[in-house]
Amino acid sequence: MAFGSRRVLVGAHYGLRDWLIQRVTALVLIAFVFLVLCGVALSGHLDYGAWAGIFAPVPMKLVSVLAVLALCYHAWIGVRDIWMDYVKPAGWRLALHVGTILWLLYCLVWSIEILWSV
Amino acid sequence: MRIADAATSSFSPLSELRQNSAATSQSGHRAFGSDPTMKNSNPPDGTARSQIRNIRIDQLRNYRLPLPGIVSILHRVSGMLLFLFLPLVLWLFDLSLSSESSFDRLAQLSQNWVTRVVLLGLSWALLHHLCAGVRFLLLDLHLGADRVAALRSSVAVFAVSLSLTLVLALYVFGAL
Repeated sequence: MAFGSRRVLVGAHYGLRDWLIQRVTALVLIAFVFLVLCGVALSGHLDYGAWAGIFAPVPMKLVSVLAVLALCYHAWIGVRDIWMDYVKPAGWRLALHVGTILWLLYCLVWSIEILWSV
Repeated sequence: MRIADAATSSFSPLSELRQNSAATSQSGHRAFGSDPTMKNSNPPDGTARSQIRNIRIDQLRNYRLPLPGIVSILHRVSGMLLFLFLPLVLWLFDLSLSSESSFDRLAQLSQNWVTRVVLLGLSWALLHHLCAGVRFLLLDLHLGADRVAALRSSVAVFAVSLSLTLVLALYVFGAL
């Protein structure tokens, strides 16, 4: 972002950035789904011990938090696009945007708590 | 800058677009959604160009959405479903990980057919969102972007997501 005399005056330019982030986070989520599926396939009979064992190692917790972060950002861009397409009154749209952000942040913190309780 | 370049260069993408649009409207095929550059570009012979507008809500019933369009709108619907049911999924995830007894409670919950149907619906949403998402990523890379390939890949999305959902359903309801 350039300010002062070098400031670009046309467009906010967040469209391309969000478009790209949505695709990058999608790849992260695909990778995470396959990682968990591999864990399930390798663990054989899936009882509590085996299931919790997948998420117990610290590296897996960190990867999981990364995936949840990607999920929240991905969901934010997608849901925001839906509000922007269908909800025209500015007040409603602002309320839905704020509600979506707060809700996703809540879910993010909640999932970190779940992951660290293992 | 880019528009100015296009206008001064010998090959102009805009004029290419106009020629293509003219060709499609002559063949009677009409695209929905209008190009703002077309508004004042009446042909030189004086005949007024027909105005192309977005469809109204009451025209939706008679508008046959092509299969790639159905994949696209269902991608949106499934994404919204996954967003709305995120707290339920997190709650179940919490039950599955907190302790041995909560894991057993989850196993008990999954005996209920309402839970099974909801989870199957969410599985379909995830599978469709994933398959359609992979297709969109490939389209972004200009892979399979022509009409025939795009139709084929949208058939593939339904084939994979629906058959995997069916396998899951058979497994969940004990037929497998």
